[in-house]
Amino acid sequence: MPATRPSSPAERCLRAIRKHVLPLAGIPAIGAAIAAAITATQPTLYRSQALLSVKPPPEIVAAAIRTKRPYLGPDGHIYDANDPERQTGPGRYAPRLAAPGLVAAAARDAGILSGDAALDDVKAADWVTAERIEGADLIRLTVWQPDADAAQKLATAIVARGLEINRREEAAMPEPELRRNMLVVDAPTRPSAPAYPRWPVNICVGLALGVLAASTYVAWVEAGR
Amino acid sequence: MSPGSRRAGSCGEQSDPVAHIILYTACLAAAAWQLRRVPRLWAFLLLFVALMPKVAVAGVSGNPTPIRIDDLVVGAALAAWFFRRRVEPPASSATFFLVLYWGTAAVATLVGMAAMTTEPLTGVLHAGRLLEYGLLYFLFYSEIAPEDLGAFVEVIATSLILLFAIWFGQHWTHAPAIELAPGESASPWTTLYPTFSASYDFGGFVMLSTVVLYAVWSRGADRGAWTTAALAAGAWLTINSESRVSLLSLAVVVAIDIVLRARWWAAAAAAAIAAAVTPLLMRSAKMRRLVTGVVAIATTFQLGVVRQVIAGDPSLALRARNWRLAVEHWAARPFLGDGLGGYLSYTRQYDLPGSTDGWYLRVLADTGAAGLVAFLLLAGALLWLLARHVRRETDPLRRAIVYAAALAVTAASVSALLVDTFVSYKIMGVFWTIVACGTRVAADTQS
Repeated sequence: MPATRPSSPAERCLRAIRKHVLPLAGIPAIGAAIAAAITATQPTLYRSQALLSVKPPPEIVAAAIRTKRPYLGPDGHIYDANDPERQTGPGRYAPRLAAPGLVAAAARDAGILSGDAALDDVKAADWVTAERIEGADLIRLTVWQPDADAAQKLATAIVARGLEINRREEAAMPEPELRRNMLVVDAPTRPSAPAYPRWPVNICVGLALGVLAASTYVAWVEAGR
Repeated sequence: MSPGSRRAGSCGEQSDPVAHIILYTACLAAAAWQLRRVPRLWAFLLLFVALMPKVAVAGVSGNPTPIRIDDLVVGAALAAWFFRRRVEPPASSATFFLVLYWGTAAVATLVGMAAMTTEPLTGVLHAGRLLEYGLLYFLFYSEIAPEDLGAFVEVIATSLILLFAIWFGQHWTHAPAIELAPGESASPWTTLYPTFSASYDFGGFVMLSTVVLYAVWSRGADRGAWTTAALAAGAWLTINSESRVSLLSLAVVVAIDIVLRARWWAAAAAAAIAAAVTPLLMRSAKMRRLVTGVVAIATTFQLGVVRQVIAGDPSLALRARNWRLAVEHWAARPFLGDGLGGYLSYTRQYDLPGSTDGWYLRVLADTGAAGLVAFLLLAGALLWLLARHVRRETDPLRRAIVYAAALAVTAASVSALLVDTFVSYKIMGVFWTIVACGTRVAADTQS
C-alpha cells in the first residue's frame, strides 16, 4: 500500500479551492444576485423611534435614595430587580403601547386608518414594537410605515394615547409609592431614509448563503472522488 | 479539623490571596509535570480548559458574553492544527452530521439576519463560537491516536484531581467573609466552582470527566491508584457541584450501565445504597431539593406535583418562563427559527439578558425544526455509531473508551434538558475530546 504524503487541512482546502474556483466564485455571486432580486421586491419602510421613561414620582425616588429604603413595585410588593416575575413600570407599559387596540385607535388618530377599517394583531405587530430597556426605566417605541410622515404621525399618536392611559391609570393608584409616571424622553423621530429593506445586510446574507452552498457542493464532489 | 470548622473559625475574615496563589501555583506545577509526561497539544488544551478561569479580553456591544482569553488560545490551537502536516486519519463518520447541523444553524442565522430576528453581529459571534467548539472535535480526532488512549485517561484523571485540589483548597483560601450567628454552622461545601463561571459548567465538566473514568474503571481497563482516586474525586465534585442536572446525568448513565451489565438484584442493591447515602453526601439545600422533587414526581406521577416542583424552585421557575418565550418564538418561525443568538433579545436571567437554559428549546427557537432535527440526527448518529462499536472492540482500553464516549453522549444529552450544554466552552472542551477518542477508535477498527 503506498504511503500517504502528510499534508495539513489548510493545504487540502487550498487544493480544493484551486480545483473548484469556478463554482466557488459563481455560486456566491448567484446567491448575491438572488438576494438583490428578492430585496428589490420588498416594500420600502420608514422607521420612527421614541424613548419614553416610566418611573415613580421624583419625591418617592428621592426618599428611597435618602432613606435607603426599598420601594414598592407596581404590584404592591417590594421591588426586586432580581425577580423576573416582578414587572417594572416599563415592563407594564411596553405591551400596552403595542397592543392592537391602541395601535388601531392611534392609527385612526393619525389618519392612517379610516374610521371603519380594522387592524389585526399581525398587522399591528408589523407596525409597532415597544421594548423595555433593561435597568434604565425606559421604553423604546418603534413604528414602521411606508412613508416617513406616516411613521412619525403614528408614533406621535401612540405616545399621546400612552400618556393619556398612564395619567388616567396612575391617578387611581391609592399609594404614591405605587405610581409610575410616563414621560417623553425623546419625541418620535422623523426618518430621513428608509430603514427597510436593508440592502447591505441582505446582499451579505445572499453571498454567505452562496458560499455555504458552494462549499457543500465542493465537499460533496471531493468526497465522491 | 474539617474545612467546615476551619471556615467557621475564620468567619469575618477576607479570603487569603497569598494562600490561593500558592495553591494555584502548585496545581500549575502539577499540570506542567503532566505535560512533561504527555507533551501533546491535546493534553495542553485539556488541562487549559480545566485550569484556566474564563478571563474576558474584550466586550462585544449588545452581547453579554465577551471575547475571552480561552477564545484566543483555542483559536491559536485550531490554527496550529489547521496548518500542521500529518498523515490523514481515517474519515470520521460524524463529519456529515456535524456539517449538516452547522450548515442548518448557519442558514437559519443568515435568514434570521435578513428577517431582522437576530442581530448580524450577535448571529456571527454565536455561529463563530459554535464552529470554534465543533472544530475542537476534528482537532482531537486527528491528534489523539488510539495508541495515546492510556495517556488520555491519565490527563483526564490529572485534570480532575487538580480541580479537586483547587476546590478543596478554596474552602480555606477563598472563604467569603460571612457573619455567623452564635451556634450557627458554616456554609456547606457547595458554593465554589474553581476556574469555572458557574455551577452548570463546573458540574458539566466534572460529570463528563467522571463518566470517562467510570467507564474505564468499571470495564477493568485501568484500576490504578491515580485513576481510582480521580474517579472518587470526580464523583465527589459532581455531587457537590451545585449542578443538579449534572448529578442527574451521572446518575442516569450509571443506572443505564448497571442495568445493561449487572444483574437486576445488583441494580436494586446499588439503587438502595445510593438512596441511603444521598442525604449524607448532599450538603446543599439546592441539591436536596432535586432529590425531593424527583422523589415527589416519581411517587405520584401527577401533573400538579410537577407544576408545584417547578413553581417552588426559583431556578426551574426562571427556566419555565424562558421556555415559554422560546416556544412562542419558535411558533412564529417554525422552520428556521430566529437565528443563532435571537434568544438574547427576549430571555432574561434575573432581569439581565440571559440564556434559555434548556438546549433543545434554545435550538428549536434559534434554528427552528430544521435545526433541532439536524442536532438530534447528530446526537443520535454519534450514539448509534459508538454503541455499535463497543461490542466489536476486543482490547479492554479501546472498548472502555468507545463505551465512555457513548455514555458521555447520553450524559450530555440528558444534561442539555436543563442547561445549554452544547455551547459551554468548558463542557464542550472535554465532551468533544471524549467523542473524538471514541469515534477515532471506531474508525480505526473499521478501516
